[in-house]
Amino acid sequence: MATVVAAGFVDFEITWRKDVFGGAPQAGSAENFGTLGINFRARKTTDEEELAAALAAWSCEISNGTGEDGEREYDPHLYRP
Amino acid sequence: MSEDVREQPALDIGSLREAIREEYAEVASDPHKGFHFHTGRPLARMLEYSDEWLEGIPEPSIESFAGTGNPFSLGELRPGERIVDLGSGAGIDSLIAAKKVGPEGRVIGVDMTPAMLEKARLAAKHAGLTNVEFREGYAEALPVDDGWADVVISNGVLNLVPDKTAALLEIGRVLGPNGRLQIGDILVQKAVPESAKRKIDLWTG
Repeated sequence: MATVVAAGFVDFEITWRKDVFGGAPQAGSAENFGTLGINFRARKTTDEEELAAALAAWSCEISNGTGEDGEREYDPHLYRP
Repeated sequence: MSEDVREQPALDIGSLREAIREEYAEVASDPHKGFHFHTGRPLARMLEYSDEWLEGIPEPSIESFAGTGNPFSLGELRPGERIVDLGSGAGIDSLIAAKKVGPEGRVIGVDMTPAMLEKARLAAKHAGLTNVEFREGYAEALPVDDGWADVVISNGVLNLVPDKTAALLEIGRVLGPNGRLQIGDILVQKAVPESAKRKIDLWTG
């Protein structure tokens, strides 16, 4: 999420997640990392003012410890399993 | 710096791209070979693509489908809108998008694998869709004008991009104000060690 917000997007939301690799013909070498398929959406800010407000709000979430849910949400170093 | 980081050389971006290109050239040329991911129509069904969306999409485009999500479930693409499909592969999502935006809309699919681009262009021709084109390029340097797009879609591709920040900034560049990002991708539930992030075979295999 951090990467998406920092790039100028707001309203980030993961709407769906599912094991989309289970039962594939070959085993993936990254299965141990618990990979899931996801759908996510976001919106580009309208202007600089909206972007500044979004970044400020996100900073507050991080400093208050409310921005994590225990998963590695859209880790910027994800790789394909 | 942790021990495992010191043991691994830095990720070679050129080698990574070449490995990914080889992998997906194989998905284009031999889609039924059997990969470590699902492909084709069964995958589309698993990802909740409707039969209506697939109507008129040439089978070669469907059989090389290798997405991980469903960008169309995230919001309607409206007639007349301009869409960029990042990592368009054999073209299935670009062609679905082209049907949704209609003749007044435009779709640009971008991919770095020539075999996939060739397959996608042929599929568009066979489908009779003239509002879609496919361009060779990288996610970090999209061959699209500033602010051109209303929506950027992508499916199973961002996880393969070495510099995700650059790709997201580039997506922001090609989107107009209020532009939408509708992405299918992957998420990892466990921390990935730095050493693993530098292994090309873990990106591709």
